[in-house]
Amino acid sequence: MSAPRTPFVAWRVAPAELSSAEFGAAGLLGGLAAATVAVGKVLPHVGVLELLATIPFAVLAVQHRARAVVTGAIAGATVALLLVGLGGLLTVCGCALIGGAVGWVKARRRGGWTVLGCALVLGPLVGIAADAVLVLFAPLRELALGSVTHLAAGVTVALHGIPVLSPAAEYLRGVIDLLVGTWWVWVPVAATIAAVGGMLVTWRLLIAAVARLAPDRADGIGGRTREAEWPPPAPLPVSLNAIEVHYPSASAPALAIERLDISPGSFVVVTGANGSGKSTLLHALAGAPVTRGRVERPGPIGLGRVGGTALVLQRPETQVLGMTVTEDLAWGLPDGHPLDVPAALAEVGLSGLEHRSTSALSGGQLQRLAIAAAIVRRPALLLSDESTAMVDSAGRDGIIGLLAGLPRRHGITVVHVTHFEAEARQADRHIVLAAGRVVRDAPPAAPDRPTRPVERGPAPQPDSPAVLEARDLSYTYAPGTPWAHRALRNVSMEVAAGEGVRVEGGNGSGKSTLAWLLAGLLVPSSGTCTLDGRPVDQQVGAVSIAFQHSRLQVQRPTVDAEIASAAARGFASEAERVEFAQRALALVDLDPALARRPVDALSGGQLKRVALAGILVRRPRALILDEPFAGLDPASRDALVETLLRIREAQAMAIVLITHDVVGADRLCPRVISLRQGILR
Amino acid sequence: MWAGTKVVVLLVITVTCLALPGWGAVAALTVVLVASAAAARIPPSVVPVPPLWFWLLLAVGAAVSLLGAGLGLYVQALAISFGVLGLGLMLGWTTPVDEIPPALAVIGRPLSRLGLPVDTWAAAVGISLRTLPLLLDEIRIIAAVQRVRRPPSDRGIRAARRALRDWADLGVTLLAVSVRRAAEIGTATAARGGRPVLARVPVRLGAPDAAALTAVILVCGLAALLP
Repeated sequence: MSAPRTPFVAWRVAPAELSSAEFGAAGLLGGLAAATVAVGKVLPHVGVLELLATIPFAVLAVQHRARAVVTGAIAGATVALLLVGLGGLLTVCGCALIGGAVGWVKARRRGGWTVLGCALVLGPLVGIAADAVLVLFAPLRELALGSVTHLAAGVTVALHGIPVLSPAAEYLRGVIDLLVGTWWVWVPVAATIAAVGGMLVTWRLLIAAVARLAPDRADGIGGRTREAEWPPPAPLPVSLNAIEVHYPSASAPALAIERLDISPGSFVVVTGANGSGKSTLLHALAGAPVTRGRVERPGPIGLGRVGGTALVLQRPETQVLGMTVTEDLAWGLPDGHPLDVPAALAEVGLSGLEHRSTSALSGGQLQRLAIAAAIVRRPALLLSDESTAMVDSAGRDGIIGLLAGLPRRHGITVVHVTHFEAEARQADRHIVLAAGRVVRDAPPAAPDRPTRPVERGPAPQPDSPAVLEARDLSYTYAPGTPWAHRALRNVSMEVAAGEGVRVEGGNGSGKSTLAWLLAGLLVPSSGTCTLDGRPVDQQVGAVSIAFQHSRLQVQRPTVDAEIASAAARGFASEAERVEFAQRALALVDLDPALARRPVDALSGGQLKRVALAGILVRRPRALILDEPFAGLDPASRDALVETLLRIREAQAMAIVLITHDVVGADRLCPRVISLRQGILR
Repeated sequence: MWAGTKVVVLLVITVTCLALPGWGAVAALTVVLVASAAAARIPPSVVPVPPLWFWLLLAVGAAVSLLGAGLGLYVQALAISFGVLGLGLMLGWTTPVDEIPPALAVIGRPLSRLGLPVDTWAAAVGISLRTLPLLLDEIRIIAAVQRVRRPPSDRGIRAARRALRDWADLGVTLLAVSVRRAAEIGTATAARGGRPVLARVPVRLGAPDAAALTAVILVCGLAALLP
């Protein structure tokens, strides 16, 4: 019998394989580069865009090792090949070479001269390789050179028609003939010029982009080294002894715990407000390093391994890795591990969806799938990091029921982190954190207060005229193709000034399409949509819209620049702009001191409010809110509802709220309309 | 038909067209495109119609080539580049995206004998393809935000400057969101054991695959015979 190796062997071995962070970055940034190239190829008038595909590779090379750039280049090149053919593949490869080299220089903290040096080496090399290809593919060379010669001849003939220009024409013809005759010289020269230009431009853009990218916020889970395959994982019981976790930017510790034990076989719920350290606690349990103290467990943590630790994360769409439900369940499972797909799906309530594409699942279904993928690994410990935050209330109850049953059914210990207190009711143990410290650790209290009675806002004034009006609205995507999809049919609705209407409906109900139509961003296939009697698609911007994902809405580097841009206002001086931003921030109950802050330093709740500030300062007649409460804790959500209520009254604004979450919206939007498969119910 | 067959066909035809561009290649491309469109019942209406300036540009190119007595070559070059583009689109229209990464892992298997991490590469292609729709959605939303913000009064140089800044914002925002998402995908990969391995899908080759391969070999032979 061979002696069991210690779990620390792995880090001494050179890590030949990609770390999980490198893998994710390679896949994502390679895909971004491929999409950029594809857009440039399909829309020739923005063909210059293709060259921007160097930037994702440069960022990849700044943050990760060369092998991640290679993987990213292969992923990007393959996707580009599938999208736009061989030309796309070659462009992506060229961009990967240029971007990778520039990122490599940046990562080594060298300057522009090193970039120039690299370009002078790489350019001729690529050029000589291109020469070799052209020598091998003689007919292709003749076609390309022939086309150029004939075009030049054509231009010469045309110029001869104008007597003054005829010497110029002869000269031009001579030059082109010379170029074509000695093509094998000019190909490397052109490649070198392209490399120098491309690398210097990439260098400038990279410096600008890196300044705006958030600092690396890796959560420390799953580092570059993998645990040795031996000994088998044993993550439980785990005990935290006098641990502290500090983040570089903050003075107070994010987490400070004297002692905390998690023993096998229980359902533990950890609650606390945003920033209370509950996710940090979960990361420590998942193996992220702590600043001080000891985390003791009998064996390796075994992330994702059979009998180890499983993770279910917050955002549904980024933790599902397979393209179909079955593929996702099997993704990363060791060869030969038994997998009963129907049973696994039945357990989480997804029966019959084996072959469904994961992009067609709702958020709640994706989270169930993630739980199923965790269960099939038979982990000892399942960590759930706010896995209910992005799911509607019905979906939440289902997920909590599933998690609560795991200790009894499979002996899996579950630690669930959430900002909803109500989810602790079925727990064996309820831990409450505040400012990084444990303030409560006991079995859950019986629900002492009854659920809050539903307060109704002021009744809508039926006599006030409609501001925003839809009549027989229909919309069809990709009309006239096999993929034509009628998302909305004959929807009529109206919203009066100062009134709030909630549009509810599940996935694929057409509620997002309705939001885009009401904002004038889509032109109706039939029917009309008007603001004060004029079609909205002829006055885009008159109806404001706040999208769910605030990081896409907030596009400028600092809060004041963002608010000025959202308000479409220019300012003579920076002081004026800051003052304007401060007034807007006060409107949404945010500290005016945030005005000079970079947007990447804001929390999710603050970001949502900043996005709203820029919109509300324009005093829109109508505002469309797409899932504004997703990911907010109950306190932040109630505060946001208060703010919106006050502004709705003050500005007599019409509000359309698109959401599938019923909680908290009643006061803002007493009137509810339901969409089912594009039809109003 | 197995997705791998389609990828192989795409590669073979593209390389043939590049090695032996000529009227034969143009004919071969046309035959393959028309035949596959007919087999998959893809109507011509799916082809996006380019705007007027595009046709004008083509016409100017044709006129100049005609003056230079090289219209034939010009048409050949154009037909081949559009044909190759069309092949890629045809693959996209006729193949469920989720079939592609496992097929690539199988095609690349000889390379893994050389110690190259083909499975990791195929899994990375899978992640790229899976996140592509999310990426397109994000581009749509960022562009929509910019449209809503744009003051209608902008004209001339102001509008051009604004457009330039909008493009820059679009790029940086996409990059920032992608880097964030990459970190999340990385954590999700770690949560699955940190080893990017695709599920093995058994390859089932049938009569359609054999027919397609035979047809492509014949067509490529035609391209080689007709210079």
